Amino acid sequence: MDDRTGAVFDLGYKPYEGERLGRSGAIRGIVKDGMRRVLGLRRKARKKVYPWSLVVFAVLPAVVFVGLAFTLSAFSPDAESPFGGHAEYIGLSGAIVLLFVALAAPELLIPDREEGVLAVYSSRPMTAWDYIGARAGALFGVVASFVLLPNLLMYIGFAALDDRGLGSALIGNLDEMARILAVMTAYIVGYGAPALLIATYAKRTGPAAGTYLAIMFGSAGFAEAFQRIDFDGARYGTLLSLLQHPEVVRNWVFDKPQEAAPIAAGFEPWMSAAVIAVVAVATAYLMYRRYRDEL
Amino acid sequence: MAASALSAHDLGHAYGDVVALHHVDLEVPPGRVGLVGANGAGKTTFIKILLGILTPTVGKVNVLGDDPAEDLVAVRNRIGYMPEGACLPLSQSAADFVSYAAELAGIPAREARQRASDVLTLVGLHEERFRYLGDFSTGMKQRAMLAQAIVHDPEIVFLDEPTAGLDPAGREEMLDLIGRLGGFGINVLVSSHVLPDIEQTCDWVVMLDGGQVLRNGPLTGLTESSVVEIELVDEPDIVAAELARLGATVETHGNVVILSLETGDPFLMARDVLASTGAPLRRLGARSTTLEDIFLGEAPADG
Amino acid sequence: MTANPALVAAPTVEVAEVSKWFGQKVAVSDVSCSFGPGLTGLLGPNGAGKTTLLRMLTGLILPSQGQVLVKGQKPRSNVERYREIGFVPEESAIYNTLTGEEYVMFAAQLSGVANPVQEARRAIETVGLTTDKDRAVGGFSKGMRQRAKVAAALVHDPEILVLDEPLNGTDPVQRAHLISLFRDLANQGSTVIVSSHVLQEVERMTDRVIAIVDGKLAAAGDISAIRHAMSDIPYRVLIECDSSRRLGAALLDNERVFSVTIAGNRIHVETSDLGGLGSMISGLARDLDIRLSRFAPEDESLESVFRYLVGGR
Repeated sequence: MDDRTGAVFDLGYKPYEGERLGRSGAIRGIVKDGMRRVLGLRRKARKKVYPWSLVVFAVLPAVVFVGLAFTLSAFSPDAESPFGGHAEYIGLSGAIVLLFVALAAPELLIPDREEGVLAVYSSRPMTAWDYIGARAGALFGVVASFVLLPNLLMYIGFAALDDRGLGSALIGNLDEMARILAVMTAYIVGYGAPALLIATYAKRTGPAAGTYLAIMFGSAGFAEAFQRIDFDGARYGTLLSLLQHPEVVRNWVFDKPQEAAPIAAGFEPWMSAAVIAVVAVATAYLMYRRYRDEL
Repeated sequence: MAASALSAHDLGHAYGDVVALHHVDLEVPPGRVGLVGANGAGKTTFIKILLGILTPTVGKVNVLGDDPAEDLVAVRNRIGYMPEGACLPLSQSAADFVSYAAELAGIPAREARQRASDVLTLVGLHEERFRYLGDFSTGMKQRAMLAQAIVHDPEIVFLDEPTAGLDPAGREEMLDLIGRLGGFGINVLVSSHVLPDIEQTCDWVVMLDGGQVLRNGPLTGLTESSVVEIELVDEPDIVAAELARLGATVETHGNVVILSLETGDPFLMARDVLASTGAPLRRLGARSTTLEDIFLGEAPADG
Repeated sequence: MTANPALVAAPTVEVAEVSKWFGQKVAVSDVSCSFGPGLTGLLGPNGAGKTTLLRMLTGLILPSQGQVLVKGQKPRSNVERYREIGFVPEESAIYNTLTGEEYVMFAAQLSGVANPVQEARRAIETVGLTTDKDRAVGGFSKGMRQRAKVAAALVHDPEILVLDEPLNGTDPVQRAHLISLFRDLANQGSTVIVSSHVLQEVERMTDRVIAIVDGKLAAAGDISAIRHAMSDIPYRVLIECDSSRRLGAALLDNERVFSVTIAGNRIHVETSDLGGLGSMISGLARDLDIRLSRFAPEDESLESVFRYLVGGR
């Protein structure tokens, strides 16, 4: 009686019968890929150095501050935190946002264009707006994380040290959290949009980052110059100070003294918020113009 | 499955003043279709319109039952595309990218990984799939590009110059893979200058010239005829004379005799004359019009 | 005495026992061949040493061993020799803002030609770009750009023209023009060496081929003679008829037929004697009352020959 059996399993092509998530799946994929790109994940080691160093710089001080604050309060419960509050920390975060998006935005957009990957996107269930939104979303998401995280840490830290006790302080200070979120948005959009815009047109990552930083830092100097010029519309030149608008919003929201050029030229702080919004909208439109012919 | 895989109705497209496509009306059945035309004939424009990248200035197209100008996402849900030239991110590995390409088509992440793995094996990329695409040779890159085009099991895939830059061995492998796509249930549109590639892989051909459709029909129709071509080892005169004596219309070009008959079977006559004259035969067959003949305008008007 | 098909009687370019290595990698290994007036095809898989050989022919690099002689002299040691060679590499940058004429003139000036304007016009006319010479190269089609590059290589009237993949990206019409251009030059006595992967075209335009596989000379000469020289590989023939089984069985009776494979109304025959089979097939079909609709050797093409050279069967 022959009990032997054998079979050959077909390793050929199998049609895919499983779930298809359509457009939402595509968008989610682009966002995840964008976040990985920006942080250098699943890529060569050297692509991780710059972004992660910045993330460490963004988060570590808060950890240190909170740690020290706890230690100091242990020795003297009435001592105030000598390291400043959210307003100051967000200023530091802002600087890191600037440096981060300088390289992250080009990494997000330029390889896809220059290496021809847009052709792949053009055969997937998504539109040009989906792509732009998803890439911008990935950038903003990652940046928001390393801005929010340390401030959240500090928020909880301060609440823990607060006389009212942790729970009540957390709720009582919610207005502070709202301010943090608003200012964070101003920095992210104010710095992120120009970076995305430059990355939409530049051909190489290095020069794109360099151009961005030159323009941003230059814009402040430029604006200062406009302050000194003595003709009628000159003060509008100060609105070019892309570098300083988020700072103006921060000082406005946290009720701190203002020194930036646009304020010195006599503009109200909401004007800075308006400029940030206008630049963002213009960026979105120009990005769409650029991408709609290839996607 | 739609009755026709692709169709165009009075399609036209212009870039400013330059007219790229003009009065294009066609229906193309499912299967393996070749798209041929000179550089500048409108092939790329046509493909971009099918993909929905361009909206036609006039008229409309239909891909698998949907119009990309109206239902872009619905069309793109079912198509794959292997563009001409590079389309690969050099700083990612093949496995990673093909998996991402599957996710982009809406396949959940875990299944995407599995699909990518299967398809990479299918196209012949093994351990190298974990290396960065920037380190791949041309042949390997072409295979990775094909992989991303089919990883999501599309209903139709557009291949633009799939054998460009490949050496003869690479070309053979690529054509073999393309030939097998039909068996996977995937419709194929191949746009190529290399006419033998089209002849080898396609059953239907669309020929564009100056933005208009020159020809749209089955490939086999082009090559069947009742004209017989006989290539002899030496002088054809004896054979030619005997065929003429039997009433055939005969032409000679070098060692080749071309014969046609008004009534009767030219193949039987050819066989008999060859046997009786004992002339050594090199090649015998129906006179075939190749795509190239049509392209270069040398073919008879009615293929 | 049989002549070595890798050599020609009156060579303009000679390659004598040439080897080239880059560190550990031997790109070209002991290749000896020569080129003369006419059109020679240079074939080989990617990475097989073809491009390295071309660069040694044109003097861009030196052999590690052996020598390359152009009209009896080494190209690198004698600047005059550069004048004899025109080279059209596979990738070459072209300034898109120059007009066709300006580009060719630029090449003329670089080559130190006596009358650049005149020579440029002549070269442009040879390649058939006269009507478009005043247009910017950036607006040229692929085929026109190739022709412009050929004109630039011809401007100093070289006797030897070396082209690396000149037909890439050209459509059939452009290809036909370029091929007839190369053939005209070859017929006028130039030594034209074309390296290409498009084997069907190589087959049609060349007088002889040189094949390099793994850095070594794998085959040389006339294509069907090369095939014939592969005597250990039987010829494959495709036969179509209306009664394949009967014809197939009858063929198996022939001792020069090694195998018969039947698929529908197609018979694939392997035989050592292609000529013999061609001579007897019509008679056999008539005797068996079988209608013969096709008799076609399947592996005499350059593609098949190439496949055998590179990978065995």
